[in-house]
Amino acid sequence: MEFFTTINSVYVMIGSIALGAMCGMLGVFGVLRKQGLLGDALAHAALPGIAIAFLIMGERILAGLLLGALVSGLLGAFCIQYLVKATKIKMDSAMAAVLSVFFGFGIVLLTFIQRLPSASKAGLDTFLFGQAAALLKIDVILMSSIFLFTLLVVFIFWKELKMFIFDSSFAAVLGFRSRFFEILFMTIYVLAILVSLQAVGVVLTAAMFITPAAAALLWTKRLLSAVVLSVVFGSISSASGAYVSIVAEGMPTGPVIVMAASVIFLFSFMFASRGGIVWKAIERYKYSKKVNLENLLAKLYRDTESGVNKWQRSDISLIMLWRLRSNGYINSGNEITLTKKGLVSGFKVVQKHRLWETYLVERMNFSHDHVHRDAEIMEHLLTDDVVEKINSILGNPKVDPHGKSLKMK
Amino acid sequence: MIIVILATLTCALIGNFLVLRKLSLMGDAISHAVLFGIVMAFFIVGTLHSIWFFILSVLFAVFLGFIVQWIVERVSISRESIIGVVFTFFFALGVLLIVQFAGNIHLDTHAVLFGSVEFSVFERFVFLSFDLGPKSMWTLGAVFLLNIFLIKLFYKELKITTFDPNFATSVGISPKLIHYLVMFLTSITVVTAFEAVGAILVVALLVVPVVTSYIFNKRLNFMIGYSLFFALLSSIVGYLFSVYFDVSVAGAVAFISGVILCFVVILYKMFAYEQTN
Amino acid sequence: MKKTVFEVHDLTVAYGKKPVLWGVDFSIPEGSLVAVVGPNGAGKSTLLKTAFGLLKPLSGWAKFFDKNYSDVRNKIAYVPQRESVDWDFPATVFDVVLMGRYGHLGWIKRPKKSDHKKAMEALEKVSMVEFKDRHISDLSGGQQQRVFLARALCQEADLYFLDEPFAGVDIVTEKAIFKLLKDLKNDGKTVVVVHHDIQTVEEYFDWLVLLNVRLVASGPLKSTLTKENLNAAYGGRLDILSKAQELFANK
Repeated sequence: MEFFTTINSVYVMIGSIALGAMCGMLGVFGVLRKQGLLGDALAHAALPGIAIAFLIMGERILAGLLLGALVSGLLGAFCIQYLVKATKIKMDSAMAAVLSVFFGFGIVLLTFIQRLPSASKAGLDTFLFGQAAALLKIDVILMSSIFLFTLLVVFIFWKELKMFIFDSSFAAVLGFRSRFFEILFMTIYVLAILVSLQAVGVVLTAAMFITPAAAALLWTKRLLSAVVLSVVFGSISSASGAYVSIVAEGMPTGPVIVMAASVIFLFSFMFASRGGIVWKAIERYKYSKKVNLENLLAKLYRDTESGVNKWQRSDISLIMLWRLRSNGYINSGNEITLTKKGLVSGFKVVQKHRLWETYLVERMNFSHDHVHRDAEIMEHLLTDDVVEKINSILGNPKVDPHGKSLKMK
Repeated sequence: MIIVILATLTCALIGNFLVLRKLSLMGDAISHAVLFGIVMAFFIVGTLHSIWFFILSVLFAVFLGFIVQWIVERVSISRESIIGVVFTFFFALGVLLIVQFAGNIHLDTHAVLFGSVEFSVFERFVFLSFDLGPKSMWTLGAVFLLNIFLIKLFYKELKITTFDPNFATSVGISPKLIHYLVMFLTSITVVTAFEAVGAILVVALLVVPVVTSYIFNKRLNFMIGYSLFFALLSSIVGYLFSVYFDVSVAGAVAFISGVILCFVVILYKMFAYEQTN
Repeated sequence: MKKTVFEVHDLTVAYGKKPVLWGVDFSIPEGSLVAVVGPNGAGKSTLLKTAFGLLKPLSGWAKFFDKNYSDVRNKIAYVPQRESVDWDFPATVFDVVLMGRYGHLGWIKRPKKSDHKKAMEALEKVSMVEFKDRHISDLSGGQQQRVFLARALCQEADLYFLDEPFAGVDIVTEKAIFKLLKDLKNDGKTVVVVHHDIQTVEEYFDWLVLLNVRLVASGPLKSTLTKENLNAAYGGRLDILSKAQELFANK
């Protein structure tokens, strides 16, 4: 018995990981197409199918239940499309309506089943919140095969899927092929949902498709990286859920998996290199440091234009002194002087400022008194190649609109 | 049965503005995530029978809208997906808390999802030692009246900000404020109805009768009126259905509202077909 | 010297992170019929939206009759783009036109008989009285535009802003709308139109604003509609400027 449990645990783990991976992978496509919640609707719509299948079969045969779920889910998808096409009803309310009506019907059937004397109706409940620990070997084999199948499909049609998501206008031009992919995508999506139902449950399947994918998209915008990352996140989440549900009896798997995925999302939200807020805050801080330093260098350069070559230590704050020195911009002694490097760097900032002002006035019809504020910002943003370009367009001017020199002394 | 009727009517009323403002899925999200708010409020306050419980739950629901907005502004992921992430998180957390700590009576998972109308009849509202009927009836009634009052008061603002928010801003009516109003009304409605019909079915009540009415109505006041009619019809027939077949009340009402929607869609298509011929 | 009714100063507005209006500066004299033109993405609609407070500028301001927008709201009418609205909303033509009176009513108050009368008068001016109980989704593009115009008319404003009112509209409606605009001008009102079609500008307008992220030119139509200005506005993307937009967005 002990041994059996252990082996079974392995199967549960494998199944869960396969599940998490598959949902993570497909989830990226769903989120990018803004159809994340469609998975929610379809999962809820599957419930009555499960109940009816059970009533017909009389016992809990997984394949039969899943077939029922499939039919019911597809029926739900059809209803949504029909409502949107045939009436004024918009997509979001159609989804909410179908979701809740089908689910309500499913609940009716479930409560009806509960009154029946037949013994094997337990376990239908697991479809609500999921119970990974209840997975049998055969379930896992089914799940893994479907996972491999979807993996294959995604692999083969990778290019087309990519185009389909990012450039649906182009895809529309292709007409028939676009329809085909719409259906294909819908089918593997529904299959994945079906497979999730047992482990995660109807109510929370949506999260499997959305949260790991959303977390992945905070790290990268490139499709391949997002998919890989999402697969990883999804697998970790569902493995955690499976583990907990094996160890703690009676704990529904769905919520644990969602919690794990949400924690990953939270972490990504804060620290991810593209979208994370902590990251962005750090970037902002670095930028303002750069701006402060450049402003100081510019001021020093302008001082040299009026003949000042030395400054007192007390004129500049300690932090800035330190920064200037560590970058090799100043020589320090009792008095501060600019190094050649410092002089050139200061000039560059000032040049960018004045050059931008010139460009605005000569090419953009700005008036003299409107250009300063703009140049204050742009002087830190213009890159050297852009400066060259501007210079060549303007014909290498010597002075800016205020008469200040554009050339180094 | 009165409780069910009241719940259905109240949800349908505010549901009009959720559907018209394309906030149906937000309504779905609130009705799930509010579970967490309710559980937390229960833990903090210690009892379901206090006004603080109610207030905290509503605050949480309103807070939810802000969280979603806050996140949406900081990332480049679609709003709909963020809603999905946030509400599943809170709902999962709520379920976990229930399973772990609350164990039974009012807060078991079944009751949470599907409501416990059957049982709430036993919680009566006792005032001056008069048994005035089930407490739920009074709270739902109060919320219903509040909804009617506020919607009537701000009717034209609701109308204009839903139809053309840009134009509304230009004439000095703030769509943002009205949005908060709608979210607030949705929150108190959801929290109150939750007890009677549970999380998922609140969605049905918010959306289905409204959508049924939306199909064929040309004017807002008629749309609202018909949505209330369909809500009433669904609740009465649904309740009778559930009694006859001995099944979940909430599920039955949701299901029947869907059946009514089907009928109306079929009738509409037939009528439209006749018109063009 | 004509009074300035609308003035924009050094206006920089970003859409997302990228600036779509950069340091825009111009003023409109009273009684003009103004066309604001420029290529797509030139910031024309953004200009209007910022003026009404729908968007916040990064810098600069817009003034109406030398005051802030919120102080003179009731003298200004805004007609947004037709596609910014969901025409499936349950409302009749009359319902929508009546909304034009909401600004004068303020919060909570209900429309009175006099408001209903003004709405009817506006409907007459756009020849849509027979449609007054028609559902707005049953209208053609031109009819929808007329409804929007009627709504603006019953606002009884002195300054009118219209965002692409002639787009997707049949020629009969186009001429009818233009006649109405001309009538407004003759009554001393000022009309500013974001126009999509540079070809018809000469026929209808007397003041031109050429916009392409920054102001290209602004002035009386005849003198502003030059080849040079048109080139500057429409002659392909300005590399430097778009590079600058990018750099700004990424900082």
